[in-house]
Amino acid sequence: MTRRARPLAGLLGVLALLLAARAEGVVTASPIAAGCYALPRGCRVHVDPFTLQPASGWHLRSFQVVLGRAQVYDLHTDQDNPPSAAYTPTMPKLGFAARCETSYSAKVVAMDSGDLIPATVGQTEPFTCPTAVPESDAAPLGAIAALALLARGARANRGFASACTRLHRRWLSGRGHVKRMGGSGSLVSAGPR
Amino acid sequence: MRRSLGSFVVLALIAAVPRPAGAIFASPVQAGCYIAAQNDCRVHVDPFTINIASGKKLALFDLVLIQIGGTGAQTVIYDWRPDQSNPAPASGTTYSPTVPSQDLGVSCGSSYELSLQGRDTGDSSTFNLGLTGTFTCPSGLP
Repeated sequence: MTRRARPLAGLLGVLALLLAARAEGVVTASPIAAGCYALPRGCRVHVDPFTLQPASGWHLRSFQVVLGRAQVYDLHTDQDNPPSAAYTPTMPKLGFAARCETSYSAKVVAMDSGDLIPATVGQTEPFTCPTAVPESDAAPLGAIAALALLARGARANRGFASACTRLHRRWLSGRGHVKRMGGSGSLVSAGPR
Repeated sequence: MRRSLGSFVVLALIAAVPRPAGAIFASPVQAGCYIAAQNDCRVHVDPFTINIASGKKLALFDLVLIQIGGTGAQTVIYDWRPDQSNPAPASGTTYSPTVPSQDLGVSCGSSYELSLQGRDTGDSSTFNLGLTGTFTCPSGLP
């Protein structure tokens, strides 16, 4: 073998080793599904539960959730007792922070003890995060609602005031007793005796 | 006959000896770090179970964050204690705690390992019950 050929052969050997390692210890996963939603403080990506299965005879070492090109979750298993059977991780309750109005594809990358490099075990179709929760739009709506309530209250107050005025006028005019004002109860005499 | 009787007596004596310290153990501990908001990273720990010696109670457990690649500082990020009068578990030898649903806040952009440490009422010291591999917290929004 010539001197030039040696490094090439070495490189090919390393590649063969890498491929062999991948072929032996590849992790499989149930389908990966995810979506994006808005909260008042920004958008979040929710990943549906999934199961990772290390290759037979190997142990699950780690997995990552990748949004676009950025890793948003990095989990590593127990050093002494990593899972050797199907493993269903729990996901953070509120999901992962993301940018609103941005499209992502969620990808799960995993590695078991037979892998030299992590492998993609599932990836979603691209999804788009909605616009942020319209806090600024909600404020005028709230104000309008409050104003409407105030106006209604004012009308009611005006009605009460006018009723009081009428009663007062009757009293002043010396009519004396006031008749019933609705309901079954009777208003006691309010006039001079 | 005499030899088998002797073996039985020896076995019975071994069984009667108080258990050695450190009979506490736990299911594997798996944890990871994620970004919850800008400059807000959290450690999420998958559910785990602590198994204590028969007749004992769980005295405490801690989740200890070990910084990797920096100072190696160890920080208790969750310190759990049972009821003083009625310590857990109410019965049996296992206890599966719930971890905070909002998870545990840590610094973004750093790498950590998480250790579960605990002891039961029969232990004189705290034991390492599980240790994760090294995980890295995201440094920013995707």
